[in-house]
Amino acid sequence: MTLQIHRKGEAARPSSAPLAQRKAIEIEKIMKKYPIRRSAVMDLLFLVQEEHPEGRITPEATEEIGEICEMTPAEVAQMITFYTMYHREPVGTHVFWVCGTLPCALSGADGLFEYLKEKLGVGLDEVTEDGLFTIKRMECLGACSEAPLVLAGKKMVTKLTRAKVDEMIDRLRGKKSIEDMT
Amino acid sequence: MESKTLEPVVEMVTVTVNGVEHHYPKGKNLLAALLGDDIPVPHYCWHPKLTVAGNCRLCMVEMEGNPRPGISCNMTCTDGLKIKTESDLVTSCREGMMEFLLVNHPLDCPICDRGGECMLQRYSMDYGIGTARVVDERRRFEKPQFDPLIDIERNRCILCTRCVRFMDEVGDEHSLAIYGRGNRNYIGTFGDGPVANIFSGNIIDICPVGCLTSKPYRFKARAWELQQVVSTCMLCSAGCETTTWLRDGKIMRTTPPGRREPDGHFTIDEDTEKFICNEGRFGNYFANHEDRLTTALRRRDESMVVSTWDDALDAATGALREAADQGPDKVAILAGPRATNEEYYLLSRMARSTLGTNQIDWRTAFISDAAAQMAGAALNASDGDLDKLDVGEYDVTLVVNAALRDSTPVIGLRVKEAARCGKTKLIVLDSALDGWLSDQAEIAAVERPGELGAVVRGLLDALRGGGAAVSELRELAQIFKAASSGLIILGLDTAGGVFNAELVPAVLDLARELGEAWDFLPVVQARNAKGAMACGAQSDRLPGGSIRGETERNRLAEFWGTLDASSEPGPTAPSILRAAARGEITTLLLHRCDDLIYHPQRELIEKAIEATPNVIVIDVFPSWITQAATVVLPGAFPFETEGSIVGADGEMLSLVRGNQPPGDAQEDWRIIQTLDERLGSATTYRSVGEIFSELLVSIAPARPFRLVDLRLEGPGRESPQRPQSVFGKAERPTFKVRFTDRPELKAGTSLARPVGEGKLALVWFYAIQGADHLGAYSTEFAELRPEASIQLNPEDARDLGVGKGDRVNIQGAPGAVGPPPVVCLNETLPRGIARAGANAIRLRMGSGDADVAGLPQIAIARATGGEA
Ligand code: SF4
Ligand code: SF4
Ligand code: SF4
Ligand code: FES
Ligand code: FES
Repeated sequence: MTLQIHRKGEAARPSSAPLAQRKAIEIEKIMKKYPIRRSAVMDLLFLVQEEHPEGRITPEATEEIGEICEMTPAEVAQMITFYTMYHREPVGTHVFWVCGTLPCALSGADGLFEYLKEKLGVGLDEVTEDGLFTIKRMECLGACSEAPLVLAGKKMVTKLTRAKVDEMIDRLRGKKSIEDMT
Repeated sequence: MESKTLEPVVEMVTVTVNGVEHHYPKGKNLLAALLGDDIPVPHYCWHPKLTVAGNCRLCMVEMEGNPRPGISCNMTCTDGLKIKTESDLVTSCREGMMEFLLVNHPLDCPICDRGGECMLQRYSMDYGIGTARVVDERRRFEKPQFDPLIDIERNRCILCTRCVRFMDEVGDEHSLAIYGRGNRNYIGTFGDGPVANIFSGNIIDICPVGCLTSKPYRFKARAWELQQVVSTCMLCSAGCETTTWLRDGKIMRTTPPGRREPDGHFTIDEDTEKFICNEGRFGNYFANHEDRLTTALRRRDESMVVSTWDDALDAATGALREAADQGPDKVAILAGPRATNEEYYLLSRMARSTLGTNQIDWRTAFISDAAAQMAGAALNASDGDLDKLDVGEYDVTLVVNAALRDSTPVIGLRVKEAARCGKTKLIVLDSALDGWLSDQAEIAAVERPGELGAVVRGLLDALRGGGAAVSELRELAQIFKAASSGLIILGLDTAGGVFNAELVPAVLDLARELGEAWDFLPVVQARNAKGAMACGAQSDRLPGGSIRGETERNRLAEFWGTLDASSEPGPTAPSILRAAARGEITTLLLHRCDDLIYHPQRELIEKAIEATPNVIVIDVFPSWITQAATVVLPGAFPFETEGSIVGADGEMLSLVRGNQPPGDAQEDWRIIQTLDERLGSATTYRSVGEIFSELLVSIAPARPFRLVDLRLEGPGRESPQRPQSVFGKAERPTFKVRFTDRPELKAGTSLARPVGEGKLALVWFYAIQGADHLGAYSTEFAELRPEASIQLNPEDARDLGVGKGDRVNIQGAPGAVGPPPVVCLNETLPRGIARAGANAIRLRMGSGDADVAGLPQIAIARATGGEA
């Protein structure tokens, strides 16, 4: 008799997804933070999004993350579509999140949004030809007192003017930091 | 299950509803309690079989002492609760919610398939304000491909998440989700792919609006122009109750039991545990197929030609009489799996009384005599009263060697549901896990096929206090000992019953050891196997008892005038087929023998038919067998005939006739009756009711059934009330009888055989999905069915150079002649073993002694030209 026994809730086998092998150390580190595997899903989504050359989460990656977190791809995709900061379509290296909620709108956000589009020659959610920029809209960023504003990657540029938009784009095109802008 | 009689004491509390006091069990869901009392409360998201979501906010009630209304679906009955379901506040809440839900709704009822049975329509009439204030453009979604069987119209969705919860909780697939956020929320699958679950069709009924509708039914009919016929699904032995919806004699759709509301709306009964599988829902369109046999046929030289009933019946009677005159072993009757009790009873009478033979048997799905014998013995020992298969009533449920999801899906669902809700402890013992039922198992044990019997014996040893070698067996024995009741489910037709000789005696010993509080449910795919056995369509049984029983014989002789057949059991179906193949049988009557058409032992069946001079077939569709027959008599489908059927739980259900068989086709019972009459039988029955009454008396002493809800007359044209018991409700008998005592059986020998180089031993089963003869005629559904698949151990697959999703051929002898199946990997399969639905892959195996003594050993190669 070679009885093989399986029990309810027994630890799952390690995932064979390529992602799990490629990013074994990072995943291990993330997993340590959560007692339940599926809780790690958001961190993993950011991990693959940052790694991807087009800054997005592909259907394949969605499935792989599902496998690692013991979720179905449908459940993972549900997370991706709920949060605006996950992308399923390609984005540029730098994403400009333009706030469009009331205080910003009253301070001229719409005009700046149009200016940004014109200057970069792209519409909402599109990627510039050089692959550098994408413009996205965002609801209130919680800094209304500094309206209007844009979130450029992780850097918030406040009291936005056309001049500031020009400077920001010039610097980024020239591979310079915008960290010291306000 | 003695514990059943001990109802737990429920504390009742007083809830005041609209000023009237009601008494409800403490803790009961308030909405359920109100609806149960026929107090109308509109609701969308709540469903009795699903968890509470509380997102539609329509079920608001006003609570005394609370300024805010509350949702009744998320409240429980507590003492002193005072609520109002009708008040100004409640009305305004409902109006507000209805308007909100309709903000983006397209209101395209005239072209919406849900029209006439839509809860949104209905509540709009009852609770809506009747006008729309929206001036903005409505939100619109693209229509995706989605599922091959289910149409999605997202603009109509009210986001109640019933469908999502169904797929999470019942379907266990987690394949549906709500995507996006806020106003852009929508329902969908990953990548808009199929929902892909054998129970997915239920989300069509569960969706309260017209978002999810049936593709085969799309734009076919309106609910109010359909005639509903209460019926039972005849596709597997789960025997689900269904409603068949007909228009002009054509099946438009099949649903679980439904009803018509007083206001003219149609709803599918919610408060029943009646989810049906996709096969039962979509697989019944075959009856509409134009190839139906509508005239009698007779052989003239090489071809079958249309004949009058008279000539055909003459030829058939002549052939039967001639054979019977040559001796009782020259004539044989094989009965298929989908007949009614009355048909089995008549066939049995014809064999035993008129033809004087015991060569009548239903066990055509088994590949050897031993397998069939053992199956008969197991069914004989099964419990007759399993109370609607309420698996949650048992402390422990043990499932042995049964491909429940694939061959009897709803039985599988019952077990799985009970285990998932923690009502029963599920133990699975099999040669591979399906990852479906087994996921809910407390303990799932896998052993190589052929050694499962030894495991059961080991378990028995451990129960008896012997020192079982394997500690897990001792653990299992502890679980069994601690249980106050239990259910053992044993699959009988896995691999054509090749494991039966090993397993049946062991499992019956186990059941005996565990005692009276344990019930035993042997499962076969054959729809009415229990009916066939009880009504004497089995070579060793008369209606009501053993072929040897004096009392039975006397009683039947009285009913039938004579009973000429000897008291020695006749051969089983596999033996009859072998005798026929040797040319030893003159006349063979095949009554709806669906299993023979795609039988894995095709060669044997071909030989049997070829070597038998007269082959009379009663069937509904042409097949290679009707082509090879001498006389073909066209029969009828369930909703075209009356009769009774036995469910898996041992409950008798009635079939209501809602339609005429097409053309010259006749109800089967009339055909058999007429044949018998022409052969000179002493008595004639004028109606199914008459046969039924006699049958009841005949099988009374060992009556294996509870008689519930029997109605044998009635046109079935009105809205279907649940048919009443023949005894009337008050005197519904509640007896519990075993078919017989559990017999002692001798164990066979172990089947473990070394697997040849480069070969895999195939554990095959009768898969229901798209796999059988009738399924092939269900053309609406045919292209939409899931593909045939074969499960391999991942390491075996690697050695063979194939991977998940590849198409493979099963070559050589044994082999398979169906379209190349798709590879699925199953890590729990022991090395060297493959698993597949025999009828799905169209398995062909031999019928020699060696062939039927073990599993077929197949060779697999990647199919060329198939996409990977
Ligand atoms: S879902 Fe109901 S209300 Fe909406 S269009 Fe269909 S029938 Fe009409
Ligand atoms: S599709 Fe139907 S069941 Fe599913 S959330 Fe929408 S309305 Fe509810
Ligand atoms: S489980 Fe069987 S009886 Fe029930 S609907 Fe499916 S095929 Fe029909
Ligand atoms: S509105 Fe723009 S930050 Fe609040
Ligand atoms: S039924 Fe209560 S909130 Fe939907």
